[in-house]
Amino acid sequence: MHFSPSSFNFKYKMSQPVLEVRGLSKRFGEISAVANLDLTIYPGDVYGFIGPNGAGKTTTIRMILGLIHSDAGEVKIFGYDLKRDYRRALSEIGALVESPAFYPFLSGYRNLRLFGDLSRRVSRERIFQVLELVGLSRRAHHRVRGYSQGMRQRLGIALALLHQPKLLILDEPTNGLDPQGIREVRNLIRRISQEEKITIFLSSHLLGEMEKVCNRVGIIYRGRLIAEGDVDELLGKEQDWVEVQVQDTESAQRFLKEKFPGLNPEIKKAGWLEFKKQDRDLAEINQALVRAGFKVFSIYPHRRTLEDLFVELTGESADVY
Amino acid sequence: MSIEKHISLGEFSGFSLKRFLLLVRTELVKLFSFWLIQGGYVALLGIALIASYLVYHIEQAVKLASGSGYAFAIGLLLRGVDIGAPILFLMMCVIFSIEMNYGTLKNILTRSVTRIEMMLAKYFTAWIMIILAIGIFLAVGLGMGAHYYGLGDLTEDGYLLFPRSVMFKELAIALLFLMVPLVALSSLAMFISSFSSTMGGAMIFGLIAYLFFDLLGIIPNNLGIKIGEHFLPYSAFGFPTQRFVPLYILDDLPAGIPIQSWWVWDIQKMVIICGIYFIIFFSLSLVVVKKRDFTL
Repeated sequence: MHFSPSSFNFKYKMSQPVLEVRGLSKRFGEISAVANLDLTIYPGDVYGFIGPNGAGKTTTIRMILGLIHSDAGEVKIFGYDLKRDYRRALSEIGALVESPAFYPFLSGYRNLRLFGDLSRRVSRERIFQVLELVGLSRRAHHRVRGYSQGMRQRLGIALALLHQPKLLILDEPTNGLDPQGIREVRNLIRRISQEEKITIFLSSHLLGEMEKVCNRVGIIYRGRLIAEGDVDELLGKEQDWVEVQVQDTESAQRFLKEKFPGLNPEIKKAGWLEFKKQDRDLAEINQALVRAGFKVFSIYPHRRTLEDLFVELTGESADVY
Repeated sequence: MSIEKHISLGEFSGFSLKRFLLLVRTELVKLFSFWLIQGGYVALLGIALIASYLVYHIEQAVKLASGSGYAFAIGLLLRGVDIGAPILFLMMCVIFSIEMNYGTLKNILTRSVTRIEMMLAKYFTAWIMIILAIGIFLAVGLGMGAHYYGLGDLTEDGYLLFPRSVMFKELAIALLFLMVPLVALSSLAMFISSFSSTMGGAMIFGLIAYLFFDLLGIIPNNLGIKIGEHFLPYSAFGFPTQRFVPLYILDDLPAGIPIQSWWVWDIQKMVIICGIYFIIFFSLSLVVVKKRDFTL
């Protein structure tokens, strides 16, 4: 199952991709880490690059950033080929690859100053602006050695944002964070997307988190892209289903089949009916059951999640994460 | 610049001196904030001070006097550089390996700095570190020399051997030539650390390599092995020891022997040997960094 870019919204078709990856491959000895990978990211996307640990996400990102060499394929960033026009290709990118890295003997401010100046001269005001954005302005002059994992992660995001990039690449930005930290980073990403108006390429194995922040996703599994597209399209409304807890389940099943042709309810467990929602009005179904004399205890509408989609596509249990 | 030309230049396209100097400045700020480099220079200063104390008191004990602050500085440099060179070498091993150790290389390379550009900036930084290290020995030597003897002409029994202008000129030339083996050492340090993943690893393997090349020119001769030595002297392999060549030539000066020419065969040999080693290690370090996959 592969969702081709042809199904994208009209706005995507009209704009030049921010990042285009074609046929990217990388082997480490006998192991194929990434195989013939294609990705397309458009302006304004919050693109989730998802897959289990070891699927090839970080290897792909490292190749996109030129940290490791690809065996085959090409990477174009804002239309510039990474191999031929390295400097221009990377000039508008801000990146946080895996764990954030800083000189621990320098302060957060000093680290940002040193790395920031390598892209283009950054002002003291801009440094404090990004530190404020990630909530670190009060610890700016403390040595990074004393920062917690969450603070380092946020400083990493601040560094990526410092030179006002047009594309932000964040590899596992919630790695090693507690639930509170994960929520903070999630909110931060939303805020960055809205306030800084930049395209975000986000990798993670936390499918639930990605569903909350991304508008488009690509799913990588064993080095191959197995699905790519708009989250709403991938999860599809036609896939939504409903669970109804009702008295006399078998009679209720027959009743619904007759009353609503095509509904096809099934008994998955005792006392419960389950059927595809298919854009039907649940209030109408509830009313019909009640009028027919069935006692309805509860109705649960369900939406397919990325986790469901992943399990469906790979046949693997979701607990691989 | 046309698009075609821009593309074909690849790695070097868009090179700017201003940007390069900014990279060097970044390197210097970072390294001189690091305790290991600070400690290294404190150690060099300590060695210079202790050596000057010992040189002076040994001279007093054997009733020999340098006679001129310049002669004292020459004596100090000869002894100080002997001990200081390995320390300086280890400090140079840190220049690249610090990025691997803390994983910060990815921060540099993802800010559109090319690998070659980064390495050239690191080499330039290493040479500045060499100049600073020599400067410490020179400052302590001349400072203590001025304190003990004054920075006047070199005289013996009232006779003028060399005016101070000659002493200063010869000392300056010797220091310029001393840079040659130290620059070659910087390429070995960079080559070793280009393979490293940690600072400790770079320093340990660096030290082993340093000792290997330091001893390489001595061991076969001391063991009485003569095979092929008339084709290629064993001393050619031990390039770190070449640092003594300009200092030994300079050491004749306090004894009243004038230096007729600096461009003698020993110096030429030193330049050739160190030049060959530099080209080899410099090229290899660039190739390794260019080809390496950085999975930081």
